Amino acid sequence: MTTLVRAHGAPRTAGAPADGAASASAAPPSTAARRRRSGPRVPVLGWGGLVAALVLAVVLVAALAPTALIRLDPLAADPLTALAPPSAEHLAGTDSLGRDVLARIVHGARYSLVIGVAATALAAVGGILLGLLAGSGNRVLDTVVARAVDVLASFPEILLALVLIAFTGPGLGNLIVAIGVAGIPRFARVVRSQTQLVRTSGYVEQARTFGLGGARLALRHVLPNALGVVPVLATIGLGSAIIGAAGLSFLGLGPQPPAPEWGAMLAENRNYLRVAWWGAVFPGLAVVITVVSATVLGRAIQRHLERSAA
Amino acid sequence: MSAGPADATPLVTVRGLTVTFDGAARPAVDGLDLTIHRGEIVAIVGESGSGKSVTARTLVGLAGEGAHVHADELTIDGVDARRLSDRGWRRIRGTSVGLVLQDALVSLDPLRRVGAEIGESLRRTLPGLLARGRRRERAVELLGQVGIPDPADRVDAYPHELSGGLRQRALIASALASQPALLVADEPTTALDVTVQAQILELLAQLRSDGTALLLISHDLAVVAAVASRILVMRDGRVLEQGDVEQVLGDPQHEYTRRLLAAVPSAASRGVRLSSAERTPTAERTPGERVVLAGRGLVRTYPTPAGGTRHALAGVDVELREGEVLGVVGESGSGKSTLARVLLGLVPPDAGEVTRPEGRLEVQLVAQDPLSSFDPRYTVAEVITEPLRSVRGTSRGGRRESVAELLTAVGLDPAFAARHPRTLSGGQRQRVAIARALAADPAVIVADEPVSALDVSIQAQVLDLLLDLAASRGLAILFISHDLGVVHHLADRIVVMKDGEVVEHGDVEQVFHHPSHPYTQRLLQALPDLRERATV
Repeated sequence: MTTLVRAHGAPRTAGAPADGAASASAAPPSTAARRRRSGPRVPVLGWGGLVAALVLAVVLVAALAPTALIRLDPLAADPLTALAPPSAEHLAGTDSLGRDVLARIVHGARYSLVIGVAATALAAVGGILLGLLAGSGNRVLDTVVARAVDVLASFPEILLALVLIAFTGPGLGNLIVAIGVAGIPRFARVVRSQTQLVRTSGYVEQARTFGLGGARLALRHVLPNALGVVPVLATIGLGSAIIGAAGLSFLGLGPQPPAPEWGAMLAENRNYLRVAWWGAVFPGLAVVITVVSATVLGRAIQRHLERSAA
Repeated sequence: MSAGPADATPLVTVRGLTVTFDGAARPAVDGLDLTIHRGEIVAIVGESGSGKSVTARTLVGLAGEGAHVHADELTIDGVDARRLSDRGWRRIRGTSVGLVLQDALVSLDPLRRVGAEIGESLRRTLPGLLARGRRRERAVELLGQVGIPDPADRVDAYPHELSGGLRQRALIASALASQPALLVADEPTTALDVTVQAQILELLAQLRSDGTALLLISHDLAVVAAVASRILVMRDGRVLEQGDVEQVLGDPQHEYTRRLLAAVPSAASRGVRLSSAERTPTAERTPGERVVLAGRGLVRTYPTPAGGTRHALAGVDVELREGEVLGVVGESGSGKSTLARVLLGLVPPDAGEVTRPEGRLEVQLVAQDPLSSFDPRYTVAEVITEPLRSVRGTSRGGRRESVAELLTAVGLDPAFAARHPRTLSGGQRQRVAIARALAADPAVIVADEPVSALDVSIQAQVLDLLLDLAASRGLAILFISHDLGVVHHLADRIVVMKDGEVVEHGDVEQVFHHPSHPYTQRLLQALPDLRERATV
């Protein structure tokens, strides 16, 4: 959850990162002044980043309070209106059981987000721990961990998740674990190389001359600098976790019917594509738009960080 | 002078050259006039941002993307270069003009043997598959010509298998392959050790006598003095002064040239402040007898990739006394940086003993590249207070005060405290690094090449600052440098290192005037002397 909250809040608060009281109290007036002077200026994350953040904000609202967006019940079947095309009453039409497709999409956001965020968090925590271990400077540890990660990474993520589910069985919890574990190598590799880079940097050496070492050195310099990339990776990773979740649910390995999961909706409605395209196309669009937004936002944050670092 | 009546037509004529980059407020080069005759070495000197490199690159048609080049005249070897297409430039570069850059390791393709690299430039004169053997022969010949020993073997070497000096020679050989009438050399010796630099300068002088014209770009007045016949002094894109070397160095007309010359540290500048054109004496220092930092019998080895061991330090004794400046000189690989790291306690010695003052913060480091020694997240104030935060529980208010004090001590406005080091200039960054070193009020500062990355005038200010601080705070400074001029300027005693050993040590004047070890003698001989040709 933290990732998404931070991501969609970023364009508004990016001017004053949590640096401490001093900078926070100094920043707001200057930002406000700048905004007043130049009218519609390019937002901090660029227009693309802003749109992506707004889309994700809508998805977040759908996940937290779906009833605020739509009053129709996603599970209420009505055989009389089965396979009705989009209309004023059912904006995205109905499926073969007469359930409102838009309501199911809105309510389904919760599954996608929960799976995406939880799996990404799992991947991030696991990857950071392994990456730090490998990058800590112990050669044996590095070899063991890095090779293990290489083995994990040699499988496509979705295949790895599939294998894990084959062992644990379908269901929401197992799906999260499977996708999370499959995402670990990505984080582990980046964190490992960042840790090594920071560990041998000039400022860490300099800090040693101040008598710093061990845990204090790690906490003050190595960790914050090595983990600076994690938010970006996590935002982008969120996208691939959501698509992985939809893919596995499509195969029937995720939340079971009648849960309105987007991948499951695709699977349910694919047989009616020729007569009722809306049943599968709209959930598909929901997946695509959410995933693209997560990726675009991640890249925008990355660019912003790079620019402010240059 | 070198242009006799026989070659009265200049090889290169430039009038009113102006180069502007997209989005730049002012032109990088502004109305430059330049003529180069055959067999002449013309040098452009200036500090970073002066436009000297842009000028050099424009003359080989590589001004870069977003550059707008205007000139009233731009003639190279009889060709009007203003109208040249990319293809035209390639032909010129293949025949009339060669370019040598600073770092041969970057400029040579790491995946190609030296011979193949040179053979590439020979394709125009010796085209086709059948000429492969002849190209190889010619490459060997060229490598021999630039003074590479065993050229027949080296022709098959990869760039990384050659030493820095040999690489630079190979690069020059490939630039010479097409027998250019003009060789443009942008800082060709800056990355090299002083003895190797002397060899390259000799090679350049020899090329001139063979009739090649040379445009030499350098920040180093001494290098220029050693070989050039004419000098252009540039600043902010403009030529401030030009003339014969003897005249410009001996009787500079422009105030900037005078300041630049005064800023060059050397034997003659001892005891004189560098950053003012008038001869102001430096503050009085009184080194004591008490030893504050010492290493005895220091040995440190590193494993080599081949499985052997290399002695970075092979039994080094060194002593730093209270309030003195001890210069450590040596070429790359001599072990001087390892010595610093061992003395600082960053690496343990394999054998030997280090005696440090009590207290963790009594010995502080000032490194060559200040920016990389700052945590990228920190502001100037956070950088400076880091040593204080590491040990003592000083209050926030107290730290803020000491930041202001320290910034003032190193000649920076206290308002810099809130800035980020990335937004500072190189000289300001090094001042911040010095302020940080002073924060804990140490007895000793170990400065590892602290001015190597700085422009001459900035270097002058930082050296003055170090001497001031040594005097006012009774600091002892271990000053590591490859630049003998800098060390001669400020050190009281000197240690000369070679291959991990101290080959000579003693009083600076003693060692510089009566070097006893052949290596020291060679080093000093290789040092280009600014004043040698500064007589009218």
